[in-house]
Amino acid sequence: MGQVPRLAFVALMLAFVGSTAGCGKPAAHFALSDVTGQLPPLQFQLKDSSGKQRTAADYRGKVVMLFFGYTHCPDVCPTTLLHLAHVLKELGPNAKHVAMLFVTVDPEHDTADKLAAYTAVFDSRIVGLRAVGKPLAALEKRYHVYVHKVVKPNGSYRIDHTASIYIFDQKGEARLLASGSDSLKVIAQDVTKLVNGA
Amino acid sequence: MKCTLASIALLLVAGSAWADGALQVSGAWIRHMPAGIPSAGYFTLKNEGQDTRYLVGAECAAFGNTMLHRSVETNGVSRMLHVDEVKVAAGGEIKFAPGGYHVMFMMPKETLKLGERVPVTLKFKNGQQITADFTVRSPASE
Repeated sequence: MGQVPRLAFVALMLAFVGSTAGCGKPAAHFALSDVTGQLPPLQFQLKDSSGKQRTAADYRGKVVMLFFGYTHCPDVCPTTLLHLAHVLKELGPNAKHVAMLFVTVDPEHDTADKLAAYTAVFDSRIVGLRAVGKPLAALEKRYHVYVHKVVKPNGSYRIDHTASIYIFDQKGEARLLASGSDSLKVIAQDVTKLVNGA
Repeated sequence: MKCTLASIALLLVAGSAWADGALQVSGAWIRHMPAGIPSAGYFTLKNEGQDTRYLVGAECAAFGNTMLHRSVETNGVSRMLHVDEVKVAAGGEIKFAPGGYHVMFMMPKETLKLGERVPVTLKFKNGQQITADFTVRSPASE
C-alpha cells in the first residue's frame, strides 16, 4: 500500500523537472544556492574609495560578487575577504570578468582611506564601497541584509551583519548566494559557470 | 657539543610553544592589519594537567583593549559574542581559530611589523597567567 501513489508522485515530479528543463536553454546546475528570480537585479549608488560615484551599470558585463562587512570586524570579515582573495586566484584569467564589491556597514567609521587600506591587504582587485544614509539603507533593504549595531557602555561596538555573498551575472541578475563556509573551489566553479554564460 | 645541540633544540622548541605548569600555548599568531584597525589573535591551548582551567582574559601592551570573543553564524548572519570564560578540560585542548574563538585586539598603539613577536598574556580564573609570543602574520599567508 502506498507504493503506487508514491511512484505516481515521483513520475509526476520527473515529468515536471523534465518539462522545466525543456524550456529554453537547459538550467545550469550550481553547487551554491540558486536564487535566480528570488532577488531583484543589481542596483546601488555607492562611492568607491577614490570618492567616485559607482552604480551597478559600472559593473555590467562582469559577474559581481557583493558582500558586506566593516573594518572593525577582526575575525569573520578578514576571513571572508581572504577566502574571496583566494577565489580570485583560483579563477585565474577568468578573474578579470569578475568584480568583487565589499560594502561597509559602518560607513561613519570606515572612511574611504581606511576602506582602501583594508581591502588592499587581501587583494587589490577587491573594491571597497561606501555610502552614508539612504543609499546604504536602500541597498540593505533591497537584498534583505541584516545589520544590527550593538554598542557597549564603554563605547566599543560590534555590528552583527549578513555574511552571505550575493552573486550576480553579467546582466546584473541575482543568481547565487554563497557563504564563507563554501569552499573556494565550489565558489570558483560556480562563478566560472556564470562567466561562461550559464 | 651534545649539550650545545640540546640547548639549541630547547631554544627552538621554546620559540614555538610556551608552557606554564600544565598549560601549553602553541601556534600563536596575530593578523597583520593596516594602521588603526583592530586585529585578532589565534592559538592552541593544551591543558596537560589534572584540573580543568578556565581562560578568562588576555592582555597585550601593544593594544589598548583586548577581549575574548567568539564569532558565530546563524541563518547567514554573522555575530561576534563576548566570551566570559573558555573551559579547557584536564587533558584537553581548545583552538582559537578564524571564524570561531579569537582574541580581539582593539585600539592598536602602534602598527605591528610582519614577523614581529608580540607578547600576549593569557589569564585564567585561578589567577594563573601565561605569556606567549604571538607572531604577526600577513592575512594573505593564512
